[in-house]
Amino acid sequence: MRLFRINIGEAMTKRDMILLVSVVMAAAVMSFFWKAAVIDSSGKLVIMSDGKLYGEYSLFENRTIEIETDLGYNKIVIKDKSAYMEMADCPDGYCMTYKPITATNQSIVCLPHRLVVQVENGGKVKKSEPDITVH
Amino acid sequence: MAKKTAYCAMLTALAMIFSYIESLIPFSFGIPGVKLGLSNLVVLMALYFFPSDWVLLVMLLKITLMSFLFGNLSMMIYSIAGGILSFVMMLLFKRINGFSMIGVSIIGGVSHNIGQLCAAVLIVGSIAPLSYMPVLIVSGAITGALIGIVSYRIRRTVRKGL
Repeated sequence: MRLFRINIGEAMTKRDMILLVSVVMAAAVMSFFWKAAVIDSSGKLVIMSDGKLYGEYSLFENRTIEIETDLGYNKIVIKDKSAYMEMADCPDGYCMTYKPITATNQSIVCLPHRLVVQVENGGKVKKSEPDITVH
Repeated sequence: MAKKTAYCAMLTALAMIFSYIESLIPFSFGIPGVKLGLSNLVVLMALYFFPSDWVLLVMLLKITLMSFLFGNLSMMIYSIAGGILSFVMMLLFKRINGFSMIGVSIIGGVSHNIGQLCAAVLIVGSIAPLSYMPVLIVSGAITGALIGIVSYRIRRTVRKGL
């Protein structure tokens, strides 16, 4: 192959070739493992209570988070990479009507208890589904 | 000293011009950090014609000046991380026998991107940017190879003129 009037075969040494091939192969191997390791394990649920950070929880461990503040009681369930409000003793109970959230920036808000639950580094929002459910 | 000042100033100016020209060419793949790295042409050539401490000086000057003129502080941190790592790796590979300018340039492009990514991980405080790693390594290898081929051609001509 000739480029810029030089012979690439002559210009590149054997070690250059080995370097190029090994670098590209390293990238290919990485893309297999890395994507799975980095993206899929970084999805987390951020809980804000009264404007302050309450806690961050991985979306990949099924668990129940009970939040008891002066304003009231909430129970959030993380199950199958999504989260929903299972119990809340707020007067309206709107937060319990949200669909389970799983994509980045989807959130559940419990206004009476000043509680915001939001997904970070999650999957993408599927276009066909609405973000929130309004009753 | 006067010779060093003159050469370093000239090389820095050249690197800045290349950097500026590159910013005028719309060459984007939608992934931050993927770029041609034209100014690496100057750094690579300087590495073969001048002492290595001159090259380091030129590179740091170019990054600082370009960041102050056209960029911002975070751009400077990313560039310095990438620049220093690529400088060290290029120097190392140049010392090892058997690598031509093209090989040195490839490792320079790849390590520049890795350095930037490491800075991003430290700044963001999350390992999420690492998911760009494979793309950035491949793009670094390709752009590095292109720059290496051009440098090889230039060096052959310049050497004849000297």
